[in-house]
Amino acid sequence: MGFIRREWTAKEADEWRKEDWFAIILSASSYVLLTIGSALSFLLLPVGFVILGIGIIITILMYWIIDPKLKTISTEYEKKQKEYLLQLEEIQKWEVEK
Amino acid sequence: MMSFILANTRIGSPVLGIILPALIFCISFLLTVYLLRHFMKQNKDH
Amino acid sequence: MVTFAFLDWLWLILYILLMVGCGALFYRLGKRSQSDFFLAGRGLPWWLPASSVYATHTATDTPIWVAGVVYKYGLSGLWYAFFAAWCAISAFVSTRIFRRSLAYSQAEWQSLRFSGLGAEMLRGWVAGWQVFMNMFILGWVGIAMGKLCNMLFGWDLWIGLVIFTSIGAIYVLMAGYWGVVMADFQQGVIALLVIIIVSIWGVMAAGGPQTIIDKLKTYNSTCEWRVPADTQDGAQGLLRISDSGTSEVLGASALPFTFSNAFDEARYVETADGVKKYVQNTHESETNSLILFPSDADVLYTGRDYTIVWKASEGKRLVNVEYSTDNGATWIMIDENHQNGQRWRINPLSFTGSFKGQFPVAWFVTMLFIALLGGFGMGTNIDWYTEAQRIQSAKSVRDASYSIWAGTALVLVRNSIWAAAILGFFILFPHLASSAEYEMGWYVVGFKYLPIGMVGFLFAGILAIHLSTVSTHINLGAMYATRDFYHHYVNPKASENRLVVVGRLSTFIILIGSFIFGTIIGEEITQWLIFALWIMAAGIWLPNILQVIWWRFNSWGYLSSWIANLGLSWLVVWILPRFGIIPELPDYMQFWLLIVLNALIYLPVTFLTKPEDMDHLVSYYVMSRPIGFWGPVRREAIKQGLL
Repeated sequence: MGFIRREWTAKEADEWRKEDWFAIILSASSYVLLTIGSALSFLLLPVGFVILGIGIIITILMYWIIDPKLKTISTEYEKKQKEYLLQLEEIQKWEVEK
Repeated sequence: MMSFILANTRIGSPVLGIILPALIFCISFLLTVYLLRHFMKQNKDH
Repeated sequence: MVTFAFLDWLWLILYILLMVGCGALFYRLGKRSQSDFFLAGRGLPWWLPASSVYATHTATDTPIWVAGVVYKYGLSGLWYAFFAAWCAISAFVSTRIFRRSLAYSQAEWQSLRFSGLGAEMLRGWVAGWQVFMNMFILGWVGIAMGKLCNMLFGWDLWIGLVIFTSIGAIYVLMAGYWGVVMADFQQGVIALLVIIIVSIWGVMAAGGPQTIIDKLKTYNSTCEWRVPADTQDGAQGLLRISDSGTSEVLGASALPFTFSNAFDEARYVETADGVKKYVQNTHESETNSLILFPSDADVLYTGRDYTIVWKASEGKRLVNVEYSTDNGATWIMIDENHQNGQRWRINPLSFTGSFKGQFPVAWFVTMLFIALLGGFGMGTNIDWYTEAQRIQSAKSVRDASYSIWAGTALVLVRNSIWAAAILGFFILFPHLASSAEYEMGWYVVGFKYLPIGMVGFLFAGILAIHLSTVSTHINLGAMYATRDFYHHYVNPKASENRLVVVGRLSTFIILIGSFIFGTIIGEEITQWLIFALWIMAAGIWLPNILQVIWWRFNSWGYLSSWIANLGLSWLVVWILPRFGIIPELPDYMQFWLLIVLNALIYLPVTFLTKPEDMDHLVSYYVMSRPIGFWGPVRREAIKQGLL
C-alpha cells in the first residue's frame, strides 16, 4: 500500500503525518467497537462477535500503520536519551544557567 | 443486602473450589518466577 | 456474615503471601536509585506498564460504580465508564510527547514546558495537589474495602481500611515501583480471571445469555423514584404514564395510593421485595390497570426509594412518568422520555432523545468529545497523573504508546464483561430501587453463586484488585513528595541512597495520611469531593490541551486557568443557580459553560503576559516534538540548526 508510508527516516518520523491521524481515528474506533462487541459477545449474541471481530481487525490495521513509525522514533530518540537525561537533572538541581 | 447472600444458591460442584483457585495460583506463581528470573538477569550488570 | 472454612483461609493466606512476595522480591532492584524506586529504571517492556494501567484502574469500588450505572442504564451505562478512552488518542499523541520529555511526573513536566517563576509555581502546585489527591484516593479506595469487610465480616470500617492498605505498603516500602509494577502484573492476571469467572457465574445464575435476552423482552417497565421528602403526610397519590411524543395518556392509577411520613422499615422492605413479581410478570392477580405498582393498597414513605412498575405498551418506546398529589389537577414529572419495557437494556445506543431522558444524544456526544479529544492534552483526565508514571517507566517511546493503549483496551473490555453479569443480576433482582443496593450486584453474584470453597479465593481476588490500586497511589504520592518537593526544592544535591530513603519515608507518610483521610471521609464528603474533582477537570480540560498543542500558552495562562476554575465552578454549579441567575444545568452543559467562562480569563492573561523564553521552548520542542501550533518555535529551532 503506497498510500501508507512503511519506511521512515529519523526526520520524517519526528513530523506529524497522515499515518498519525489514521492511527488516532482507528484507535478511537477500535475502543468503541471493543466496548460494544465484548459486552454483546459475552451474552453470546452473533452481532457482538461481528462487532468484536471488526474491532480486532481495526486494531491490527492501526498497529500495521503506526508501528514502523514508532519504531523509527524510538530508535532515533534513544540515541539522544542520555543527553536529555543529563539536561533533565540539570534543571532538577537548578544547574541550568540563563 | 446481606439477605441476598444465601448458601443454598451456589452453582457448580464443590471440587471447582479446589481446582479453579489452584489453577490460578499455579499460573500466578509461575508468572512471578518468570518475572523475577527475567528482570534480575537483565539487571545483573547494573 | 460470610464465614470462612479452612479451605477459604488457606487460599487467602497463600494468595496474600504470593502477592506480597512478588513485589517484595524486587527489593534489590528498587533500592538502587530514585529512578529505580519510582520508574523501575525506565526499562520496562510495554506489557508491564500496560498491566499496571489495567490493574491500577481496577479497584474495589470500580465494580460498585460500574454495576450502578449498568443496572440503571443497561448497556448504555458502559458509556459512563468510557471516559478512559482518552487513551485512544493519547497513546499516539500526549503519551509520546510526555515520554520524550523524560519528566518523572506531570509536575516536573511543567518546568520543562514552561520556564521561570511561573513554571516553578506550577510545579509546586501540581506536586502539592497530587500528594493530596493520592492520599484522598487511597482513603476513598481504602474505605470501600472497609465497607466490603464490614458487609462480609462485620468488621469496623477502619479495620478493612488499615489492614489491607498496610499489606500493600509492605512491598512498596521495600521495592518501590519495581514492586508495584511486578505485583500489578501478577494481580492483574488474578483479577482478570476472577472477574471473568464471577461474571460467567452471574450470567449462568440468571439462566444463561439467551434467558437474559428473552426475559428482558418479557419484563414489565420500571422507573426508579425517590418520593420527595416534603410530600404531605397522608396525601393521596396518583401515577400517570403517557407517550412522550404524542402526550397520549397510556394509563393512570385507577385508585390513589397513600404517602406517609411514619416510616415502618419492615413494611418498606416487604413492599419493596414484593415489587419483584410485578417486574418479572409473575404476579397472580389479574388487573387491567397499566400501573402495577404502586396500587391503592400501597403506602409509600416520603424520602424513600421505590421502583414504579407498569406494563410495557407495544410500539411505545419512550414515555413520561408523572405523579399527582391533588387528584390529578396537576402533574409533576418523575422522568421524561423514559424507556418503555426492558429490552432497551441490551442496546448500548438506546438514546432517549436529543436532550431529554436519562441517555440523551447531547450527553453522549459531550462524553465522546471530552473523552477522545482529551487525549491531545495532559491531565484532561485525572488518571493521566498515574499513567504518566507508567509512560515514563517504559523502555522506549513505542513501548510507552502500546502500554497506554493496551492497558486501557483491557479496562474497557473488563467493563463490558461486568456489564453482562450485571444484566444477569438485573434479571434476578429487577426490583431494586436504591443504588446502595444494586451497585453491590457484582459482589453479591460472586459471594452468592460461586461454589463452596471459592469464597476465600474470591476475597483473595478482591484483595488483588485492592492491592494493585493502593500500591500505585502510595508510590505515586511518594514520588511527587520526593522528586518534586524534596529533591528539587529541599536538597537538589541529594545522593541516590538519600533519595531512596526519603522515598520510603514519603511512602510511609502517604500511607498514614490515607488512613486519616479514609476515616474522615463520609458519604456526603465523598460525594462533594467527587463532584469537586469532576468540576476541576471540566474547567481546565481545554487548558490541559492548550499547554501541549500551543506554544503561546504560557505558565501564567495555565496558572490563571486553575485559579479561575476553582471560583467559576462554585459559581456555575451552586451560587448562580441558587440565586436564579442561571438554571440548574445538567452536568454536560455545565462542562460547556465552564469551558467558555474559563477561557474568558486565561486567554487574556496569556496574551497580556510575555511568552515563555524562546530558547527554553526550542529546547523543549526539539526534545519532545509536540503536535499543534508550534510554528515560531520550530522556525527558531531550524534557525539554530537544531532541526
